[in-house]
This record gives sequence, C-alpha cells and structure tokens, in this order.
Amino acid sequence: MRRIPLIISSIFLFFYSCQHTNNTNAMFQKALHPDQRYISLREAPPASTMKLNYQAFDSSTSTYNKKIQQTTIDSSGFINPSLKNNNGNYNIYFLGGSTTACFEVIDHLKFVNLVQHKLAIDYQFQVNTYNAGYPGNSSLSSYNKLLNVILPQQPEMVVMMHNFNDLIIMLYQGDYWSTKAKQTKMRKKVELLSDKSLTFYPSYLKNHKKEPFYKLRDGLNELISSFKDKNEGEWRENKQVSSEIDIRQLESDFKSSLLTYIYSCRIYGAKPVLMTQANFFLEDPPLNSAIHQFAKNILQGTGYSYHKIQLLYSNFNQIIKEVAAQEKVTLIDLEKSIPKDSSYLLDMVHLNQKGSQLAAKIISQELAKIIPTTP
Amino acid sequence: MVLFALLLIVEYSFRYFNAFPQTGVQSYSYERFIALKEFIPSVEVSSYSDEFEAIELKEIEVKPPCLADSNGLLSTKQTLNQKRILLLGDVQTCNLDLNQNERIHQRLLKGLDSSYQVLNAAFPGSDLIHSTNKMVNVLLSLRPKMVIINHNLTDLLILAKNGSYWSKVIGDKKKARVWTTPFAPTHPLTQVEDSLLLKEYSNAMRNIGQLLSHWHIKPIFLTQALNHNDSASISELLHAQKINLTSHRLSKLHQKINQEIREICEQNNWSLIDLEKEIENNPTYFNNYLLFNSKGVQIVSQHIADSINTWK
Repeated sequence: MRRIPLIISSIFLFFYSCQHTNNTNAMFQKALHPDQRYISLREAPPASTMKLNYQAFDSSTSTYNKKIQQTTIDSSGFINPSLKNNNGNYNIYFLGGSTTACFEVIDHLKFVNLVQHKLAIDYQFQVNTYNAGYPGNSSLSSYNKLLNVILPQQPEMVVMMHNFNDLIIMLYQGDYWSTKAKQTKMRKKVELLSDKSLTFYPSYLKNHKKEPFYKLRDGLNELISSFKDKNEGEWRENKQVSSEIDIRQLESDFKSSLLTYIYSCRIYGAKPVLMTQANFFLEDPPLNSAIHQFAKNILQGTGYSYHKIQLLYSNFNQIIKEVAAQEKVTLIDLEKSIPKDSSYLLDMVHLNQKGSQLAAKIISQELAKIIPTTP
Repeated sequence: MVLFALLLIVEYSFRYFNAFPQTGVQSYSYERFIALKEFIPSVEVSSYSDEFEAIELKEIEVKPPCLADSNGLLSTKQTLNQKRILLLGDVQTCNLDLNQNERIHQRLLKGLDSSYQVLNAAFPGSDLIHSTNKMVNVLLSLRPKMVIINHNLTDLLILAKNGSYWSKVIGDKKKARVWTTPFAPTHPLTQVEDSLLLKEYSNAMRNIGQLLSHWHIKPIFLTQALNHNDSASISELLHAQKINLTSHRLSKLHQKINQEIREICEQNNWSLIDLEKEIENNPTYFNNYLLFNSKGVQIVSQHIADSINTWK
C-alpha cells in the first residue's frame, strides 16, 4: 500500500515527460495562433543527426538488405560536410531530393562533397559546395529552400536535380499541392507534398523532437499500429484515380517549376545548372532482375505500371534537357553518363558509393568549364 | 521511483540498441518553417487582429464580419468555371477597416462580369517575398487567370529597417523559424543606401513577375497611392518602428519605387495600372496616410476593372 503513491507518481512522471514536448510545441504554436498555418521548409533539420534505414541492393547476392546510414546536418540545414574551404570564394549549392542528399552514401563520398574536392585538386578551383538535398523534395520544395535560405546567401551557382519525386508526387496527388484531396480536417502545415509521398524505396520522413522516452513511446506506437491498418485515412483520400490525372498538365507544371528556378537564380545573380537524374529504368528490364522486380512491386501501389512510369520519367528528363537548351542553361546529363548498372545504383534512382564517385567526376568536369577563372 | 528507473533503462536500451528501428529518417532537432502571411481560415479576423505584425501600420481596427475561406483568402462568391483574379498586397489592399461589401475584392467584382471570382490574398505586413511564398505554396494551385500586385510601402519600410528581405540569423538553433520578414536586425542600421533598397525591391518584383509569367498567369502591377500629406502620422510610424528615415525621405523613396515599377513593367511587357497617377495624392480618398476610405476603394476598384475590361 505504501508503494502505491510511489508507483502512481512514477507513472505520472512518465506521462508528464512524454507530454512535455507536446506542451512545448503547443506553447510555440501559441505564439502564432492555434490554427495558424505555416509552410513546412522541407529540409534536413539544422544541427541534427539523421539516421536512414533503407533497403540496399546487394549485387553479390542479388537481394535487398536493410542498411543504416548516419549523416549530420550543419547549423544552416545543409548536409555535412559543409563550408570546408575557408579560402573558397565561389559557393555552389545543390538542390534535389534523396538522390542529391545521398544519405545512403558515407559523408566523404557523397558526390556534393566530392565535387568540391575534385574541383580543388583536379582544376585548382577553391569552391565550397553545399548539399541542400532532402528526401521526398520536389522542385517546388527546393524552390522554397532556394528563395528563403539559399538566395539570401548570395550563391554563385545553384545546381538542381529533380525528376522522380516530382513525377510520383504529382501522379499520386494530381498536382504539386494535393488540391484534389478531400481535406476532412484543417491541417496546420501547408505542405507542398505529403511527407509520406511515394519515394522509391519504402521510407518516409519523420522529425522527432528530442524528448524523454520518445523511443519507448514510438516503439509502443509501432507495436500498436502493427495491429491496425497502416494506411492513414487522410492520405488514402489524397490518392487520385490515375485516369483523372492530366499528364500534359503535370509536364507543363514541371516545366514551369524549372523555369521559375532558372529565372530566380539569374535575377539574384546565381548561375543555374540543371542535371538529369541517373537511373536504372530500362524499357525492357530482364525478367530475372531483382532491382526491377522490386521496383515493379513498389510502383504497383501508385496505380501505374512500371512501363508507364518509365515512359513518364523519361519524358521528364527530356523536359529538363529541352528547358536547358531553350534557356541556355548548363546541363549535366547524369542519365546518359552513369551506366544503368547495379554497380553504380542502389535501386532505380539512388547512387551507391561508386555511382556517387562517378557522378562527382562528371559534375566537376562540367562545372570546371563554367566556373570563372578570374574572381 | 523504481518503475521510473526501469522506464529509463528500457528507454536508453532502445536508443542504444536501436530497438524498434523505424523505417525512414530520424532526426533530433527543430523543424524550421516559413511564415505564411494569411488569415486563419474560417476564424473571425477581428478576434486576432491585435496579433498582426504589420510594419506599415501601428494598429488595425478590423470591422467584422471578416472571415477568410479555407485558403486564408477574403473572397467573393464562387460559382463554377470562373476565372480567378488574385489580389496581393499589404494592409492597404485588405481594407479591413471597411465594411465587408466595401472591400476592394467586392467592389472590383461589381465592375466585372460574373465570369470572374476575385480573391483577396493581401495581408498586413506582407512584402513581395511573403507574396511569392504564398503564391508558390498555396495560390498557384488555384490556377488564377491574373494576379494584381500592390506592394510598396511595406517593402520599403522592411528594407529601410533591415537592409534585406531576409533574416540574417539563419541556423540559430533557438530560432525555429526562418522568417522572411519582419525580423529584429542583429545591429541597428543607421542608413540604407537608396540604390540598395531599390535593387532589392527590383529583384523581388522581377522574381514574382517571372514566376507568374512562367506559370501562365498574367501579372498586373499597381503603383501604390499614398497620402503624402499625412506626414505627421508617417513620422509617428517611423519613430514607432525605429526606422531611420524622415517622412520626407520616405515619400521620395516611395515615389522612386513606383517609378521602378513603371520601368520594370515596360521592360518586361507586364501590365501596369498607375494608381499613383490616377489618385494623385488626393487626401479625400484616404483614412490616413495609407488606408483608403470607401470612396478611395471605389475609385481604385473602378480603375482596375476598367483596365481589365480593356485588356480582354
């Protein structure tokens, strides 16, 4: 009986600590208004450590295995390593989704980092490169980062690589903004994209604020949710019927987004560069290809066949090339330059370490042609 | 306490051994976000108007009812297949101190045919960068036919105070928000060069203009009308906002920005409605240095409607 108050107070402390962060959040949002909306800046949270669990293709066994990779983020929200060159007087920012972030690759082999290294060693350019990629980002998410974080830093050059996320998000939602979704409740975040958008590998993003017992609580939530239907009602309603989506509108919007990026860069004095995405999409993949079978299984959930996605993806890369030619923007064609081979690619679009190194070599070759030699 | 200790042990075990690893990315920091200067959907504006951070006005008296739709916009009635006209601007475009049917979006609609819907996306304290962010993240999805932009004084005040549209404090872990504006400068500015101010404005204006053009939307820029006669109120505002400008210099800069608007529109072949010339600083159209009265809104909306009807 004497222990009952002790047990009760312990339980109380446990739930209090779990609620602590919720209350902190509430206080923070109270400064705006409880129902006020804000635009989520989809980025790697500043001064944080990120751990990615992902499925990597092992070419020696032709199977997918689970891997974990840790990455740190600097205080400005760029993926480390960043600002390494104190003598650097030319700053290059890389925008994109997970294929730019390269969370699966160890830090010093991420191509954004390697480009800086190669430009210094092979071409004697003292530059700084910044990795502003983030999984799940579309070109419009990257535009938010460009306008609100990167352009104020007066970059000399901005390199953008987008395709797959834009395509999948728009196919899933109908457009960039999920306007066709039935919003049964008011959302506090105005997100361009769902955090749970279908990127290729089955992972999605969560930001956890540091709080006591978060691991225990999340673990219990996982256990409980494993007994429930995992499809959240809100996002299930966002799934659009494929026959109702206007593909020409999607392509037009993607083009508009690229043009917006190009002109914004130029207005603020930054040189824009476009990159096509390296990929493993084949028109007729081998039947025994584990990578393509894995892709087909994943893409089935979108309501579109592998071949349809492959065609649309190819069209998007073609749009990138056409826009670059039309606007006289430097194009780095990774789609053409990186072999469609599992020795370079983890899956349909993500580079492995060898692929990242090759990408860095190609990118630095092309950038060296356009970086001015005189300050 | 024993139970508490046990819970701690379990918790740290999970952390150390990464038990219940979650698929995806885990991070342990603060989320940053961009201010979305909009009215709270479906909430009476007068109930939270004292929370506005509007650099261009000391206080705002909102005349109810004033309700925003689900997109945070003050809008006219919607029917099917209407062409949408969006209004962007600061507190001058909101007309919050006027009756509901006197506000510019309602007045403008009277001068147009029923094939239009007018959506007022202006907000107190909004500058061109706020409007650009709102366009990209909310308003492009509405596929408007044209967007009418009335930005000058707020941008001028923000640039005069801060030297830039953006916060210089980026990356501070304690600051969980990436505000575009306004923000407290890290050190007070004694003077901002006219040329710097005009350049920043010019870039922001070109940026929103090109964005709209590339998304197949007609941009229409307004030169902003201001009641320069009310210099006492302007001086009071500048003092309250701790901006190192005289009312005379502010008036001159305001006129320079209007001239910049004219030149940029001509260079880019964008549509212009020269309200500064039409209103001619006539104090009978204003409640104060910035806010139109009912007569002023009527005149302004008539000019805009006439221009739109001419361009059809």
